[in-house]
Amino acid sequence: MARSSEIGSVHLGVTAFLLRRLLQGVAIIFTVATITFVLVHAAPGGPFAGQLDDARFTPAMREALIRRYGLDQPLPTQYVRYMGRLARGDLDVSLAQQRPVRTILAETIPRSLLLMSVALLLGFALGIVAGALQAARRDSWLDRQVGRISVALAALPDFWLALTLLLVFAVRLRWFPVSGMVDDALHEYLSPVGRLRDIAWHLTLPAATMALIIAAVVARFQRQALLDVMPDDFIRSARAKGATERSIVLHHALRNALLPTITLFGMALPALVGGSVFIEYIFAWPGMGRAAVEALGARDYPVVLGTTLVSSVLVVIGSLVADLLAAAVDPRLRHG
Amino acid sequence: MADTPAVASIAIPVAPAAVPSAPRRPFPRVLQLMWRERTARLALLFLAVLLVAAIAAPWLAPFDPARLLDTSAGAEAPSVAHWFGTDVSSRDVLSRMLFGSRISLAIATFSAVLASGLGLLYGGAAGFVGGRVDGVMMRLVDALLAIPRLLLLLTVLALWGSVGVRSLVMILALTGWFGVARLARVEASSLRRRDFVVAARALGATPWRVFVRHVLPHASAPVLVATTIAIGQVIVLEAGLSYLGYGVPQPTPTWGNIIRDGRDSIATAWWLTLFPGLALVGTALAVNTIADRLRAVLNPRQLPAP
Amino acid sequence: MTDPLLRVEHLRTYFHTASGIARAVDDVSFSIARGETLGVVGESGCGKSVTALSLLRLIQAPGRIEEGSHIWFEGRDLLTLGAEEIRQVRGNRIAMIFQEPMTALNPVFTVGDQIAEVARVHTDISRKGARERAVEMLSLVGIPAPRERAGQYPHQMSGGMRQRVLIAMALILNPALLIADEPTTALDVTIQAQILELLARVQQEFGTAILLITHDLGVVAEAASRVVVMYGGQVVEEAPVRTLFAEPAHPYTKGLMQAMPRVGMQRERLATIPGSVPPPTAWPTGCRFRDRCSYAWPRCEAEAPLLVPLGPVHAARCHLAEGDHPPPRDTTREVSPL
Repeated sequence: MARSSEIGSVHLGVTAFLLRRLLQGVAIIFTVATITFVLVHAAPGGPFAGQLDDARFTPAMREALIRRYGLDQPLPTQYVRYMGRLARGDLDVSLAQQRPVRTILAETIPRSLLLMSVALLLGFALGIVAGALQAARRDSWLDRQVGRISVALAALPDFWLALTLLLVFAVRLRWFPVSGMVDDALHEYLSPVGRLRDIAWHLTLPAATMALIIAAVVARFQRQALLDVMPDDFIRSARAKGATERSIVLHHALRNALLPTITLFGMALPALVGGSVFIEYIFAWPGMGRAAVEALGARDYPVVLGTTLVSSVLVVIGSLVADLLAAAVDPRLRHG
Repeated sequence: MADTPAVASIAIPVAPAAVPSAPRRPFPRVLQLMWRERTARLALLFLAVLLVAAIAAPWLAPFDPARLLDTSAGAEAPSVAHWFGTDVSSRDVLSRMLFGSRISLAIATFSAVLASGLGLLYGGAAGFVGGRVDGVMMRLVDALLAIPRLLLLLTVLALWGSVGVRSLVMILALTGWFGVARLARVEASSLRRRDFVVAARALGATPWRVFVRHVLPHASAPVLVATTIAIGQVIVLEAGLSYLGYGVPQPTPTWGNIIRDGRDSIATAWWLTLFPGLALVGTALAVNTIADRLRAVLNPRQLPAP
Repeated sequence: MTDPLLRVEHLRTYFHTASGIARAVDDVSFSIARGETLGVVGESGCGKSVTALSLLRLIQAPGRIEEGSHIWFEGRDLLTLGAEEIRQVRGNRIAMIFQEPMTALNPVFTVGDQIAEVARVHTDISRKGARERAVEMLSLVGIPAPRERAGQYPHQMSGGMRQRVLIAMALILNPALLIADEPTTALDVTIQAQILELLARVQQEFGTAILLITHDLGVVAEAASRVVVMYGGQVVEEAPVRTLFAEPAHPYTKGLMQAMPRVGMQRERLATIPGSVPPPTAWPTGCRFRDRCSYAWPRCEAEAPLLVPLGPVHAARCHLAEGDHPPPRDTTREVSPL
């Protein structure tokens, strides 16, 4: 077993691993972009989808579109031009708002990211803690009750949970605002701290809704992962060393049981992004999900398409982050 | 008690390792084993009742779901005459829910089964053939899985316009086969190397025959579990789409549509959100419980001695 | 005569399962003196590992150490200690190493951290101090470049090296007793010899008593000073090592020895003991070995033999040891020792 070269090889191992995953991610994004192209051209009306019946759609506009996208060119050429545009970051123009989709997304994505990150952090933290507690006190009253709650929460339709929480906490109890990200009337006049508080206050319910569902799924997963680890030999070694039960569960076992949860995070990303659409719609959170739903109403497909593409990119980035986390937690992955 | 977590309304692909391919068990025995656990029993009963209610809707419903009863009254709270109240257009909610269950269940079942069929064929073929072809086929699936399903659905709806029920089933199926494909591929891939497959080939069986008669049936256990989960997911997904206004077109009742109707009066007409919501929750819970139990039953390691 | 370091009296460890009570350890008594190596020999299923785990109270439900058992160590009955007190004994006064070095180490922590943890759990030593001690121990157990190795993870090491790490972990606080449960079984023969050599050296330097559990008589011959042979959850013979090999009294011991392949043997087939170990839920009545014993006669089924002393340091659980023998047979049936 080499010695001095090992330090170099550790770095090489991680870098090679990341590079490979990065390339895979790029390939996926490329494929997704191709799929969107196929969808657009397969749809009835193709790139003119939704506009052919529209009375406002003049022949001049039609001509402009044909020129802009090279619609008179053969399909492969169109494909190349399409991919080229995407590579430059040009996501087309919103039909309803007559603004570049890129601009719309630039406004809405940060808000969605804010919502999703808060929900993810809260949800995973709560879920890991709950799952660990359950495993530590297996078959106790706590274990059973938390288990039942998790099963129920995880099975609830997310939009229904959102509606119910909205009804109870915003409408009936009036603890939180009913909609939006900011208080439209007051926000401008508030101090920076005041503004942050305003946003936080509006953020609470939607983030809590998502976090609850995430936590329910994570808790069940984490509990099982911990229980799977407990019979392992190294746990017995730890006990024979004189480690406390608490240290055994929370230190020795948990580090090993985090890996499945991190994998779960990577796999659950598409579902998370999809679920946020409902949440944003119901709480009127002005993120990209809500923009997509409103665009749908106006048959403004460029916005929906752009949202889909960007969401896929976010999923890929999220997976990479998950891989990084996994390598940080499990040294076996670093040295491959 | 279930050992592995059931999938939530969040579409997490079932980890292949959770259900190793099992020798085929006769169906009655599977049912019998599932019956043993109390929560699974409740879930099965619930679904049986639901199924009966859906099928017998025309006879069970007290009113015609499309009939506008008293247009001046608007939404009325639950009463003796209307157990679940009426909606804003003064239609009986219970009747609408009964008929809605038919639509929702039918859409979910058809699309889930169709999706599983597609996925099984695609993934099974990829795993069975192996090599480069397998790699390319699975890359495509990876990309498709990276797109959030709801957004993919919205994109299709934006491009194709509003669709009827049949097209909705197709679209749901076409966006739902990716996870099953991955599952089936893993199963088929491991089966490819197993002795009985090699033996069958050595006996002169054509690849197609081996695929259909040996590989597909063995891959079916995890696919069965995934299909059950998928039915639950699609019921919720369709409800959500209808809630947004882009699912089943009005005035056809589905649970999601009823909730949508009550959207503007959510604070006052609470029954429009509560009852369909409870039905959704109950169905989702029941389906998930059954899927959990099914997974445990089909896993040969966990079976009690016969 | 000085007090023994460890004295086990009437240890009974039963597993209360749905399919019956498994009497894995059924009235076992022995003692270990300071600085001595006691070998415990037997096939799989005879209860030796469960005995070892019982000493540190590492038995988990549905297993239970039954009433009437005593484990005297350093003036206390370990079985009467509270959870916190027994925890303080583990790794500190009594340490244990296990059979599978591959899986006995936590894969996500460095080897150095895992060794250091023992010191930090039981003493007030600082993080840095513990780390230093860990490196010292690695050097002591013969691992080259110990400082670098301390920062490595278990999967970066070979089996033999991992076992050395486990030994380092066990010895860092200089325990009075080291329990080694099949420490060489999972290793290559050459590594095996190295590990045994290491254990001998450790014993010489630190005076550690060793309870060496194995199914391999060769290991016993090399490393132990006294031997206990177990079968069916009981002690069936006890003797100093030379005596055991020279004059085995119990048929099982004899069978084990004849089954050992030796250099210079001229046989075509290895001898075996016929039959297999019965399940601990259903020990045979009378002598537990009788179904596999070539000397067995009706008394063996009717009456369970007691542990009979054959001298000041030798005992065997067999009617033959009492001086009794099978009644003469009329037929000339060949009773062949194995």
